[in-house]
Amino acid sequence: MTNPHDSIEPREILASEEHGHEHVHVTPFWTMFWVFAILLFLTALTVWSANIHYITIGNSVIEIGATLHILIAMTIATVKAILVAAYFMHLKYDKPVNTIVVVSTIFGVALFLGLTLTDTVARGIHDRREQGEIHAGGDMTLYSNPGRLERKGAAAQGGVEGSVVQQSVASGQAVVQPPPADNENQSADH
Amino acid sequence: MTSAPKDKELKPWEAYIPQNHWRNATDEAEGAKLGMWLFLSTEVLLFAGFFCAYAFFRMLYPENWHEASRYYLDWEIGAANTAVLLLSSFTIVLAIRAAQQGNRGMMLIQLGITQLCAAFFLVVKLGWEYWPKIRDGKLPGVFFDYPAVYAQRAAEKAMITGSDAVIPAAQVAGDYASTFTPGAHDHIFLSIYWISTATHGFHVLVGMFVIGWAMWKAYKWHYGPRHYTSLENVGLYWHIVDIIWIFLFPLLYLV
Repeated sequence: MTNPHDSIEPREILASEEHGHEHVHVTPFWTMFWVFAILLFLTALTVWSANIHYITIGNSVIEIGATLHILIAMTIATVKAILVAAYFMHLKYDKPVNTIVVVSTIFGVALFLGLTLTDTVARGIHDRREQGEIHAGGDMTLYSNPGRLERKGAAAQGGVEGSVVQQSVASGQAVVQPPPADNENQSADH
Repeated sequence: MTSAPKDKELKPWEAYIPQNHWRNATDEAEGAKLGMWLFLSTEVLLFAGFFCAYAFFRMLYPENWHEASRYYLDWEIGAANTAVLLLSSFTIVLAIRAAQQGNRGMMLIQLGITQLCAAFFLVVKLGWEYWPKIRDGKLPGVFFDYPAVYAQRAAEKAMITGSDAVIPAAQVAGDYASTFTPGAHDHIFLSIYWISTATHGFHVLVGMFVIGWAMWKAYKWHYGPRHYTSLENVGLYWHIVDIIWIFLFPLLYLV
């Protein structure tokens, strides 16, 4: 039996496909129109919400700051993008593999931005070491807070730390300098 | 038993034969579409880089980012461009519907409207946004002309706050124009603006060429109910361009 698909004659191939898979989904015009109308409305909503800086409910005032504005705008933008992707780009009516590609892309973007921004947010940490707050001997900010040092109890050993604390308490000044690394200067502090 | 079409001249879309490593034309079309989606993923990640830069620099220099956005950019122009791009997305969808229904005339009309929308977008962007900025020295990064911009700002402020103010302060109350002072990091904001919108504008320009190519193919009867794959893929590309602008507009112009 000849396989119609072996033929290169267009008429025969078309004949074999006429009963076949051409279930083309033609999205109704009004569906597309309403999606378009909603997109325009959401754009207007974004513009309008960007101008709202204060919401007054009775006597209390809620301030809409920059961060909240960004959140609102990005939420609306995401809804718009989902509408465009699902209806205009036909994802809703396609095979799921296309949607899986899109979701994976979004995951990639989230990874990209997320990890970059966690790095950005943490960038001040090494400055504390450069300014001497964090030292090889320990966290120097402990020495300006004697109560905190006592709570650390077992960690505070030897007279070096104690003398420095007494000195700072007596003089009423916060200690910023790191204590002497060796014990030779202990007598000077007594 | 289905019968072959009568022996007449077949239009290109009717005579289309899928490549023989495909089971049938539907599989070929779906494969092409999947390939297009994979390419669009790379486009999304390209712009994700710009969005990352936006988030990064806004985090570092948040002080007058919002005011700089209001001063250097006009949200009205951005909103008009957004509406026009949304319309172009709608019309290209209608063009694909016309192909599915075998309506060549409607295809050409809708693709033509899409082209006009794209042209409108580019003309407005280049003429009303880019050219005034180039003229006034509001350029990205090292090209930012601090003296010129500061001088222009001072002149604007003098017009509205001087004792012989041309525009009474009361009239511009609440408007950024009365309170904005150029900051040390405006060139960074403008860098983000320029690179994002210029890359997007380049994609719109490429889209115009590609839609023109699709119009040519439509004119030559290459698209019909059984074969409109490349038109669909052009549509997908155009929708991604639109989606990217949907995200760019609020980030650059509104917040």
